[in-house]
Amino acid sequence: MQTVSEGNLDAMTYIFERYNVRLFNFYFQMVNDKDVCEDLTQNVFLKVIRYKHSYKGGKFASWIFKIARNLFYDHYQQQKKTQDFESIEDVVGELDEDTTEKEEEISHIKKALNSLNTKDRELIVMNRIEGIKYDQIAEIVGSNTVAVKTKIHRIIKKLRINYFETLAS
Amino acid sequence: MIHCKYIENNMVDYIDRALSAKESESIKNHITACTTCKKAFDKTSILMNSFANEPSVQPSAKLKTSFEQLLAEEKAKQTKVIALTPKKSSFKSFLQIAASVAILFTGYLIGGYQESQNSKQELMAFQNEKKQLKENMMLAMIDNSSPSKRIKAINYTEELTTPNTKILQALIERMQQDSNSNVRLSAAEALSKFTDSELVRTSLIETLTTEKDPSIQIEIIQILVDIQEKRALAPMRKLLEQPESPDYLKTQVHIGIAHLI
Repeated sequence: MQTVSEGNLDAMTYIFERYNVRLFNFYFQMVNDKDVCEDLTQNVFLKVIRYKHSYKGGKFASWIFKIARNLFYDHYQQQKKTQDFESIEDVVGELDEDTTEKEEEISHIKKALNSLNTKDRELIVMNRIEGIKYDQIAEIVGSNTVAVKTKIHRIIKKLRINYFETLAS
Repeated sequence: MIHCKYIENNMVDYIDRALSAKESESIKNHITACTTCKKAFDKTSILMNSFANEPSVQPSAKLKTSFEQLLAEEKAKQTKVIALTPKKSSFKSFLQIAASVAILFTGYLIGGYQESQNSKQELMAFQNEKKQLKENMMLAMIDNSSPSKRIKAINYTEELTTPNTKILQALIERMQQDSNSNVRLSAAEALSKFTDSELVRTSLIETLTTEKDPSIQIEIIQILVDIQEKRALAPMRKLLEQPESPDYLKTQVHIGIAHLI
């Protein structure tokens, strides 16, 4: 990334190869619409290019996820404004039904995840699905490691209950 | 003895194998003994396994192509930006501005100078023209049959500072030969301004001998006395000897001679 911030855009290809699937999956867990996820992922790379000078060293993954997260919240706010009658949850639910037959297990996880609020879901997705460590998440969301860890453990406990409820139903 | 609450709090780290060997061992022992904790552990493990097993979804090829397009666009922009802002541009453009200002200013000065030169030349040409016109008018009018026109022509010469010989000769001719005494008097008065000329001086002395009108004679005597012309003494003494000279003329001649000697 250092080379990109110095103006070498060819290094962007390398960054894209390394992060595009991860970012796409992060969004896919949050939004569930592949087209929207692709657009969001694309926007992350655009922002990386545009704001390359604001990268002042440090863990690059944290920086790029910070951008990804901000873009997600922008998108989320827009969705909220445009959807007067349908909540995101409803849209997500509808989409889920299409995939239930094929991937039953995943659908349960998703349903459980969808029962969480956006902030909690985001933490679980980053930590459990993306495999980002607590200290890095703390950096991304602007908190401290202990608080993030405690929070994630609490969410997992809550999720466990939700998950087995959906399994039972 | 470990409390169930402790197990619950460290469950995730235990499954993540993030605890020390000693801690892991004690939790393991508790779980095998406590059914509640065993249940919670089993459920958490299943949940966390499902997370781990969540397959990674591949974005479509569209993402890569649109990224490549984006990158190409950004590259083009970057090169454009570089081309538009060369490093020395600010200094260079400053020089260019300074040079253009200097050129403008010099242009203004040259223009102003030329303009004043032109107007000066025009004014001089105009003045010369005016002078020429007056001279011509004077020469044309001086031969006019009307005495008043001739006097007017003579008066034009008052405005001339350095009349040419042609004008002076015309004036002398009027003073010596004009039939009208008023014209002759005016001509004499006009000539009194140009006594620097030797031609005028000799003609004045000459007129003193030929002129018969006492008023003109007195005028000429006064002019000659003013310029202290000693050559006028001889014709003046002659005037005293002439029997037809009136007394008042003789008195003036006496005064004049007294001034000259």
